[in-house]
Amino acid sequence: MGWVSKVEIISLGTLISALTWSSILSLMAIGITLLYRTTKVPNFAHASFVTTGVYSATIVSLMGFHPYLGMFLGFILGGLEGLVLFYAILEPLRRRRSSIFILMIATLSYDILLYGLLNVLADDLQTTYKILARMIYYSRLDFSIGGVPGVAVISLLALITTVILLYILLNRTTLGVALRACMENTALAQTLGINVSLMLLFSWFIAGGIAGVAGALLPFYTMCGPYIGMLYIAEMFCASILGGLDQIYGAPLGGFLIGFAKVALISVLASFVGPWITEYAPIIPLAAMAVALVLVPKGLVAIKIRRG
Amino acid sequence: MLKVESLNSGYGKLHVLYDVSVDCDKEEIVAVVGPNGAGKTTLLNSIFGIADIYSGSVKIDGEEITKLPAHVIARKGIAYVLQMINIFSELSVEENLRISASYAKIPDIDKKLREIFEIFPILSERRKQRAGTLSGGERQMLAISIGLIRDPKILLLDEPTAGLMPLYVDLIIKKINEIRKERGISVVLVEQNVKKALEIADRAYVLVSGQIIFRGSPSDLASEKEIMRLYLGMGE
Repeated sequence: MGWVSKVEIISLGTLISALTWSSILSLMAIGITLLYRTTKVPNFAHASFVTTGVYSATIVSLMGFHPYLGMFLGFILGGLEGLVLFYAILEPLRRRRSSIFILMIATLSYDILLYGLLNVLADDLQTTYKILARMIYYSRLDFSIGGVPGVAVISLLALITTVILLYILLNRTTLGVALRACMENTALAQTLGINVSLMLLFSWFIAGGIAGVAGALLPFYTMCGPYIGMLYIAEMFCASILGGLDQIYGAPLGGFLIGFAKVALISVLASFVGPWITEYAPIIPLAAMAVALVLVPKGLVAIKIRRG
Repeated sequence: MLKVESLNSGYGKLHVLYDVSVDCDKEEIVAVVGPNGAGKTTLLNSIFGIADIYSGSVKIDGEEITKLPAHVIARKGIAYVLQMINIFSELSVEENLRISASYAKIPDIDKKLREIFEIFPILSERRKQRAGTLSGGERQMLAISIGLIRDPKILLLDEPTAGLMPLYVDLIIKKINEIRKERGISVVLVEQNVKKALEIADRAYVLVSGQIIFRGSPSDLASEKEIMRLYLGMGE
């Protein structure tokens, strides 16, 4: 069998899987980029915001609804976690003019705290409801359209909807333009009477919320537990950095490049060298980011299209 | 109108201003001049709640605004045009103006926009353009307009002619004077270009090492040869 036919055989299911993962990863990365733009902080607690989304789907499912509806609860709970992190921890530190390094460590500490709470929640769900709350997987509850799993469609739709809503928010509303103003220059925004703290708080709610939505989709794609956010946090940052930390809309670009590189490329490699290579899949996003950043240091959105 | 009394301020442990008192009456242009690092920008930052105030007071129309957050002071009828990054370069010219007007609760923003475009017609031509693509002079016009569209009682201007070519320097100075006369706005003008500032100022303050060493009319300042030579780089 030639290399061309090998690639063709694996490409159908793999492409759908890559599309799904890329969409979910893009949703996760958008929040990281948004927060970096507004607060200039790499947010490690994003890992737990995502995991909160996973357990939102679980809770909704236990209440008798379809776990896809967990996206709504995930948005609210992830958003609230973002609010608490900013208001209770980051804002007081910012007022004391703490360095970005301190703020970053604070997000990491908050993530560890949330990780502990999510473990408690998982144990409690396991004991109370007799479910495998550390191995949540909803593939069997998913629907399919012509053989395409529902999560591929829903995650892509969620991503497109999020990008459109963010575009409308940031460009068509006073609140959004004020948020963009804060992203660019907080001192100048203050002189216009914009309450910068309130704007940043809002951005943390939105970013946490989007992470929660992504998390609620994850159990349809892969098996999840309290650890799942931490497992993918490096990949989220890869997608965000690769897309360009200065551009919110770069995150989906980064997400798709990293997602396809990881899922499709590892599948192609496995067909050539054997399935053992899949163990090394997590290396691919990091390698893809390293190579791409050597070529485009400011991220994919910095690429100018040449005309003529 | 604006009254700054015995102000001690700075940034954290960095004490910059020492017992500074400055006032600005209605429709008056007050120039604050002095060498680099004298604390001129810190004075404006202190009035606007950006710097840390250790003691002293800032009042506008008798109302104490000392230590209020900047976004609250912005709603008290003061507009502050920063020295360096004073426009949102990623927003369009019109977005810059609209966002400023909407946070100042201006009832008819379209009418206000037309007024601004009458003062600076070039901004009308550039209204859909990203502000970051404007020339230095156009940026400064936009920065002043961002303050002006808020219908302020007092305009704080931090070196509005810095880095501009002479043609734009003359234009900006002329416009500041017109704005004061036609709109009855008080202006606190911090300037490195002493000659130009004194041309339109009603009164002047000289700030050196965080302290006021002169207050009086521009003509009185011009006669202070020692101050002009040592601190303002003018005269023999």
